[in-house]
Amino acid sequence: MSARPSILASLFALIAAFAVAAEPTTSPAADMPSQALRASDVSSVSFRLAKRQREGSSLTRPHPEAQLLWLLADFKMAAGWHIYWLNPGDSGIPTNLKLDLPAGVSISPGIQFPIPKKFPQPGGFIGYGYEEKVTVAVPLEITRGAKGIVDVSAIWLVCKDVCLSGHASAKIDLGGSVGPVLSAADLSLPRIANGEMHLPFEGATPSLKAVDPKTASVTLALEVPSETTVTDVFPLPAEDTELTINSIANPHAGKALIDLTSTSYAAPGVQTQPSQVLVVTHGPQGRQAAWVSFPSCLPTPTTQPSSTIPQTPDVGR
Amino acid sequence: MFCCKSLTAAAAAVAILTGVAFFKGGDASPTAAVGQAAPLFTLEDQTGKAVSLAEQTGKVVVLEWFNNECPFVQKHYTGGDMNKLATAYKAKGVLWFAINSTKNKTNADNTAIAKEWNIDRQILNDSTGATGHAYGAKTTPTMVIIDKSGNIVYQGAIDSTASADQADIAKSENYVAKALDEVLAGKPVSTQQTKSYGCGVKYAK
Repeated sequence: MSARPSILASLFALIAAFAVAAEPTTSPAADMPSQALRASDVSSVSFRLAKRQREGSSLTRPHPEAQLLWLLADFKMAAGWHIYWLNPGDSGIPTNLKLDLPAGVSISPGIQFPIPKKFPQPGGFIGYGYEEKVTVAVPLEITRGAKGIVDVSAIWLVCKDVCLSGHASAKIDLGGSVGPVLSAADLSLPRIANGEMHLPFEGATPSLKAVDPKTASVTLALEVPSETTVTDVFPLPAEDTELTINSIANPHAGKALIDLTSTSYAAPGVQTQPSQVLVVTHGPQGRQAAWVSFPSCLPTPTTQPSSTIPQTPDVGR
Repeated sequence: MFCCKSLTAAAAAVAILTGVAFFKGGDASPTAAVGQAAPLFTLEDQTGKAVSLAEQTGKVVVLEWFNNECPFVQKHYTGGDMNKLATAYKAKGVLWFAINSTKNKTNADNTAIAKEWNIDRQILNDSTGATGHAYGAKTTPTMVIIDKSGNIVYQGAIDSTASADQADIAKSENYVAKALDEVLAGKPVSTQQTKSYGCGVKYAK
């Protein structure tokens, strides 16, 4: 590790717009002086409000009289360090925001994470997350002129050669300073929170084949515009489920195939929830992403596939 | 019964010297799976003493992937929870080994942390990562329970709350305690596999 923690600490203290207090860990890091390195030395988060562009599908359309804001959590990481997405991958934990909202304020349609990066981890494992910086967006819907304070806390794990647990909290006054209007696209969010849900594909037809009682081979067949291809897929398995992306294929124009394996750890007889994948496409409109939901295990009459989901999963899941 | 019980002394010595574990058929690819024979290994503890899984036949064995620099491991040690758990089951005849697959860790490192954290059990040195890979250990902690016949009966997380917050321990279901109670009572393990959580194991490669 080349960066000196004292320098980094000063840098991040300058960057943070709001007071943050990352909790120290209790053990020395690998190649740093004993008990010298803290999450706040290599990462920070600051919070801000911004006006939110009125947009949404029939599934996520906000109340017409509601005031829409973003509560934005800007995470910054030192070079080489990363934090994690909703699904951290083979290790780590999801970056988590917890909010205590005043009356008349709700989160709709759900906390939004930008498309993550995929990075290799020791042992040939895969992690999903963010390097350098990322903004996690909380869409707030404010009715009846509600005011007050939002208590927000962030919990994250920042890793490089070692992992450090970070925590920060702040009180955000809804009557305070608010930044200019931002759309979901401005924040590089997946399409679930974007516009009228002009998805880059028309449907996702899952085909499940049992491998054994706990494992299913899943193929997602996507109809995509002719000049659009699926370039990446990020799995978000249901609880007690593990998803492995085996292959992504664009066999011909207008068609994409995602092959994956779903393994359930649930006890016999326990119905698993649907899993999801974040499908990233590249086409004339650039890089886009949308969620696809499908049964985690063998389909049942009550578990129907859907091409989209009404909201992103709760980050605190 | 554990496989490959007839490991020769020479082979065991090579295993220790090279840090390469011995598995069924000599295959070093991940083989660990619930319901199947546990991959064998021979590793040094923090005092340099060789510990061979093949010699533990007839005992219930817990393997705990360990890295003292990981906040998720610290969560279970700072309040003494992991030590209490291990001590409680040691009294019931369970063998409990911590395994440190972190690259570049030495027996001296493991000795130091055992003293600092009051760990009275053996911390096995797997700095080559061979045993960790054989068990497919992705995170610290990762927990494995092996029954008296040498088969894996539990693999996964220590408990039900994937966090680094010690306060979460009390409100979590401890999968290891539950599985050990069932094994010791001669019952089938009801939760055989969970997704482990924690830091990635800091393998050498």
